[in-house]
Amino acid sequence: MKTQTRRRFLISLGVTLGVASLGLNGCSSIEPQPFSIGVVVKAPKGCQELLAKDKRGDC
Amino acid sequence: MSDLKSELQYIHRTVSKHFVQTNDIGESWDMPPPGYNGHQWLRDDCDGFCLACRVLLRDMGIASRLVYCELGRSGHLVVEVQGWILDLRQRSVVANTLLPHYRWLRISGYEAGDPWREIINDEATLTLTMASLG
Repeated sequence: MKTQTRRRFLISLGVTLGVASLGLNGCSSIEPQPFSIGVVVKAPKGCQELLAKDKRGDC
Repeated sequence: MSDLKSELQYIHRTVSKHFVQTNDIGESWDMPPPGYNGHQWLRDDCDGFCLACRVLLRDMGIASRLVYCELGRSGHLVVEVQGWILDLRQRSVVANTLLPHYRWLRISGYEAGDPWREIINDEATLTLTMASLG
């Protein structure tokens, strides 16, 4: 009886650890990283034209 | 899933649902019509998709930036929120680290008319991505 209980406990423990480890490797989502930003550059042509033609332009 | 990512997914899904992609002819950027709330049909390219997302993001009080990039030899525009990318070409919101084939070039500010800045494509992001993908 004692052996069976211990075996059941060890199986449960193994399953729990197995499932938990999934979250640490292949199944975990990949987080974004901040962009490295440098000097000021020209806005794309489409943005320049949008700002010139539409006061609602949001770029 | 984080609250922010859930909100971004909602916006991406809402805009995509009523968006008909047209050929990217020229560089004409157009805002969605006044009063746009995600339920009007739009026919446009990646620029129009981004500007539509930006309207909804602003309505929800979420700060975003536009990112001009290259895919192969084609110019492309996406929206960025804390590194998450809303992109007409993707089925859902993805982390910028999951798009190693995108060449990030320029990023807008958070407000209209803010200066754009160059994006430095250092190896760190790519290295991180490749390591994560194993």
